[in-house]
Amino acid sequence: MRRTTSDGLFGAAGLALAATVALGATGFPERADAAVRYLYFLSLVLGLLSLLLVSQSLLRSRKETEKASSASVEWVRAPLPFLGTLLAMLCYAWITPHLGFFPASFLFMLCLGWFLGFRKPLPLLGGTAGLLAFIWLIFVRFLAVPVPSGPWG
Amino acid sequence: MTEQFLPALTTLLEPSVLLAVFTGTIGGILVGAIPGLTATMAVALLIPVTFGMNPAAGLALMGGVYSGGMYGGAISAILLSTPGTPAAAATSFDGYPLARQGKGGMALAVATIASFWGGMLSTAALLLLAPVLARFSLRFGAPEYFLLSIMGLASIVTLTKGNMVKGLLSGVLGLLLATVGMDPLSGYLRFSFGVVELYDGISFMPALIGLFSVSQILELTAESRILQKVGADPATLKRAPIPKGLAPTILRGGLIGTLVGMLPGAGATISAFISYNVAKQLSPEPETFGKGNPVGVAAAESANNGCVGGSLIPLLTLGIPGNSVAAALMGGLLIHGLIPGPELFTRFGAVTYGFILSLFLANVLFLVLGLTCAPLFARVVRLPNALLIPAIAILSVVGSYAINNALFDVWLMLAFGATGYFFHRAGFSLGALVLGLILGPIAELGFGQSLIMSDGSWRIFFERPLCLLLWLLIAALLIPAFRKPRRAKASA
Repeated sequence: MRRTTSDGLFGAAGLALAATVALGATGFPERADAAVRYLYFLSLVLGLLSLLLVSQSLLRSRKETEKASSASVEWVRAPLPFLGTLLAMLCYAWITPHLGFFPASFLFMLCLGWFLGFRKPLPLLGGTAGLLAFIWLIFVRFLAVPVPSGPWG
Repeated sequence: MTEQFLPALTTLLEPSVLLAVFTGTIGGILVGAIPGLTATMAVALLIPVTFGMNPAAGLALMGGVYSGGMYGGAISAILLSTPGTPAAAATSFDGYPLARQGKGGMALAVATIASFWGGMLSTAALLLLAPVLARFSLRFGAPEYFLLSIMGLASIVTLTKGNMVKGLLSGVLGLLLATVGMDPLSGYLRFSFGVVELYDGISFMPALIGLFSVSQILELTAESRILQKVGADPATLKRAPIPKGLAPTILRGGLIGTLVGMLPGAGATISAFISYNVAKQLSPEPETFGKGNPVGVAAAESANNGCVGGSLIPLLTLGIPGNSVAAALMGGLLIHGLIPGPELFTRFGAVTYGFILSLFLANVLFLVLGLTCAPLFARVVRLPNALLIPAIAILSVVGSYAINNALFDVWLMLAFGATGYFFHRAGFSLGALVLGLILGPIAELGFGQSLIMSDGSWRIFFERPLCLLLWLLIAALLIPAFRKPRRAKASA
């Protein structure tokens, strides 16, 4: 996607957000008058800045068309590892309350580490066990930091 | 004060107190270095632990965690671009590029020395100037707080690497996100969409961990190692020379940290950003900031450690904590029966001055540990990303869950992480977004209270002498930034 197109879309989204916030604030009760005025102030600033971004992108777009050159946004550099990591993190968050923090973390680190290309089983197992032992000893036992609990830990 | 000095020194030299400082400092560095775990959380968790200890040892332990934690944040900020603490966010701007250039050892040494001098300076201020300086921070009212947050936003302009409009938009978006939840003045619920977990607003830590840690993990998926191109050798980290000419920056950062640290609510993050921006403004090569300029690391680190002593000045003299760690420390004081005020410096002088002296010792300890253990820290960046990515993700889950014991915060962290990644790719500033989130509650409260005080008149922001001074400072931040593009156009 061209940088100017992305800027234009973000600017338009900013304008829509500013309008939504300002409209949302109109429904506040009278006692929240200070909050309403603050939100109007923020919406105004957000709207003006978004308008500026849209104008900038339109001007740059015209210049780029004249020069026949354009900068582009590279959203994802390595799609497979990116999507795999994102999916693994979502699964990890979902599975944690069902398994418990330690079993879920063990599975997550083994699977994601393997998926990302670390193919040495013993160091992978050792690293995973070491990290989880550190978390258990220092955070859970010593500092009493709570971790998500589940049926197996 | 002098008559309290000898008993305080005797207290400090007790083996239990020395052990507490040592343990606290090491623990603080570790906690600070781990993204998502903050000194505030560590101090809060330590309060029940210190209950059975003598007050001097308990306070020394918490002081050590505070000092060590403030410094420790720089380690992961430099080596992983994931600030261990929010206060180290500005450190990553130049620290991480330095690490990528194979100068991670130099960046760590600069951060250690700057943190040490910042900490020493602010502890000296705490020891000598506490009552006088605390009086000044009390003059700040609601309009001044609102303008202080505007000043923070104005500094975004100089923080932004590319498009300034995008930088300001990111900051305003942060302010807007900070309005989610209960209105601080009327208690009216806004933009929470019936989600109970959002009633208190967007929890800051999950947002911060998501923006700085998860988005970084997603960036890392494109590379097999953090330092794959330079192949940094731990030995080179140890021997790295420190650039000359950093003393004025460190001194200025320490002073900024001390002064900003004294202002309730301002804290180490804001002081680090302000110091970083001032250093950038004064630099003859501002374009090198954000690309690996050691002055940026020195400015940010001296200021965030400068906050340690500064934040304790109003706490110990007036009972007003300068930031969240100081607020947690106040709980520690109270459970030992130490009520902030003049009595702390007279009746409990041995404990109070012993505590202040222990902060000096904690600074010396992290200086020694930081300078000698750099190769150990460097090993983190030599880990393959295939291990580092899941490890950081697991620690991020621990950090985001621990604050409220809520899985909702883990989902929030993931949402902020994924959104932050695409935002960053589109050229928006995550640092500015975080600054907006931090400044949001201060700005909103200051804005609302000011308008109530003035019966709705906006003139209140222009009438008071301190407000005028703050406007001048805001102009000083904004004008050079907007003159730069014109100058660039003129020269083109």
